[in-house]
Amino acid sequence: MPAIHFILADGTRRSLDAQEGWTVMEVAREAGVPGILAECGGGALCATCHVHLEPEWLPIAGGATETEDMLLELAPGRDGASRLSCQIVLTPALDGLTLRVPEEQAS
Amino acid sequence: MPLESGQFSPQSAAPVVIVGAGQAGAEAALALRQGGFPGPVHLFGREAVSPYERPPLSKGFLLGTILEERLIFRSAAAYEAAGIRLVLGREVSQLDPANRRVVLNDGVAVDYAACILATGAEPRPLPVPGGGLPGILLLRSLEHARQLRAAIVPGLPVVVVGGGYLGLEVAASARKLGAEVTIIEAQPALLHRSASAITAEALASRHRAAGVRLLLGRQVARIEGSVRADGVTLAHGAFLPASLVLACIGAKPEVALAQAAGLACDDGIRVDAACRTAFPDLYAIGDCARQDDPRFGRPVRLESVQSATWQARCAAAAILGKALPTPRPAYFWSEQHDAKLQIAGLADPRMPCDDTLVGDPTGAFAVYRVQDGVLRTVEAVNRPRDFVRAHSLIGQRAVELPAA
Ligand SMILES: Cc1cc2nc3c(=O)[nH]c(=O)nc-3n(C[C@H](O)[C@H](O)[C@H](O)COP(=O)(O)OP(=O)(O)OC[C@H]3O[C@@H](n4cnc5c(N)ncnc54)[C@H](O)[C@@H]3O)c2cc1C
Ligand code: FES
Repeated sequence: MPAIHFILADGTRRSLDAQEGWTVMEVAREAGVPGILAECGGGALCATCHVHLEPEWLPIAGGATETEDMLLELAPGRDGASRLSCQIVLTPALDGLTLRVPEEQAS
Repeated sequence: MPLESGQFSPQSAAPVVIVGAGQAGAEAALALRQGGFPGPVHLFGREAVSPYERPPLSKGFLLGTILEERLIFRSAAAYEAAGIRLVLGREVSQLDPANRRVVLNDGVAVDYAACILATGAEPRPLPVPGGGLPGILLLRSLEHARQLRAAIVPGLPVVVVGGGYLGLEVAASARKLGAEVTIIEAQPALLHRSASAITAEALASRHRAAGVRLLLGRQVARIEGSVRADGVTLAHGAFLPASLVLACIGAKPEVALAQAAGLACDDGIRVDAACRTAFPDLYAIGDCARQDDPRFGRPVRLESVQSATWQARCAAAAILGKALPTPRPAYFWSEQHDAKLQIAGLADPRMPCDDTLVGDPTGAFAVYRVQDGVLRTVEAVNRPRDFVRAHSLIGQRAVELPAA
């Protein structure tokens, strides 16, 4: 079971056990991680599941896809490490994945 | 009056009672917790399942690409961990706003500090003779979707009554599963008043190309069958055999509880911008509510996920005494065949629209809809860039359109 670490806007850390094949958004939604609204349920439509990858994870998890990149225009404070968490599917390689949840979501 | 945090000792104080454990109710419970609400939160739901998302029911779930467990927002244990008391399979049967009390169907009374009505909407049954026969399905709940999925058989005739979003999505899914699908729509076009004629026609072409038969401007006179529905007779006499009839003629807001309690209802429980009813500490959100919408300057009831979640956060903010979340343009989506439709904004259905097509209606395109010189809505099919761009353009005059 891959573990995921969320660094919340207030600096606190939440570490969660995740199920392979699930998306980061689903893991956050299950646990009610504040700041991940995931309004559209993973449809790559709302950008309210925006997260920033910690730099060391960017090459492993990969950057935003083309559609994601477009949608991220709706996300306040997006940067080069921004992803839509609903588009990151968990694999064993992502065990330990660490992400920051932005202070403000699009909504 | 917002409830002061200090007013609560988590165990003993009266709870916030949320009636209806759907998309809106679940979001409100979570938003209260995430906003730091310290008191008890009770979430009552009539359905036996933990809150889940409905949009895939007509799309991926029907097609079998999205499994049931992925629809559930979070496990029952996760509500418990968040300090939310989730009570499933129980109905709130009475509301007494003067005494701040709800009564459950087993007679148990619960006093509330604040109450949020999130009762959703119910599909309308077919108002024709035979409209109640077995074999006529509706689609609102997971249970409905399970029945529907089991009833769709390759090669057998499915008749969908109603050419709105729900009917069109089910028709597309059923066709993909190999059924012989006919859509009957009383209006001369699909998506009457809920999309531009350009988009409606482009989607109609896709349905026809996929082998869905469209009967537009046709009325259903009767559903035939002695023990179960086996066909549909149209007003001009034609008979269509059907192994399954699906009624998709719209939903009505679930307002029985509110109405009996004396709340103002007008196709939805009337609430202000913060989702407050006229009674103190009583709110209504989601499909059951008609809100004074600051974005449109008129009362609006929208059946959409975005509206449900936004209103949930409005009500939670009001209860917490915090500023309301900033409104964003409304949005909606639909999937039919190869078309991924994304709509930003909302046109006023009472006023004419000036529509401009950009792109190719048989492939990717967008329709920019202007009312009174102001861009009100953008419908984008397989053009996410137009959808994204629309968010900053809605409400503006003299918008420059993309070249193609
Ligand atoms: C098949 C389908 C596809 C859809 N697709 C889309 C889409 O693509 N995009 C989009 O934006 N929207 C879509 N929608 C609409 C969206 O799902 C709704 O707007 C949303 O679910 C509304 O949430 P709600 O909480 O107000 O109502 P609901 O989710 O219906 O929840 C209300 C709940 O309250 C319960 N309840 C009612 N009365 C009581 C009572 N007295 N006591 C206890 N419980 C009670 C009901 O049983 C129900 O579970 C779709 C809807 C359906 C049915
Ligand atoms: S949940 Fe909406 S874009 Fe990820």
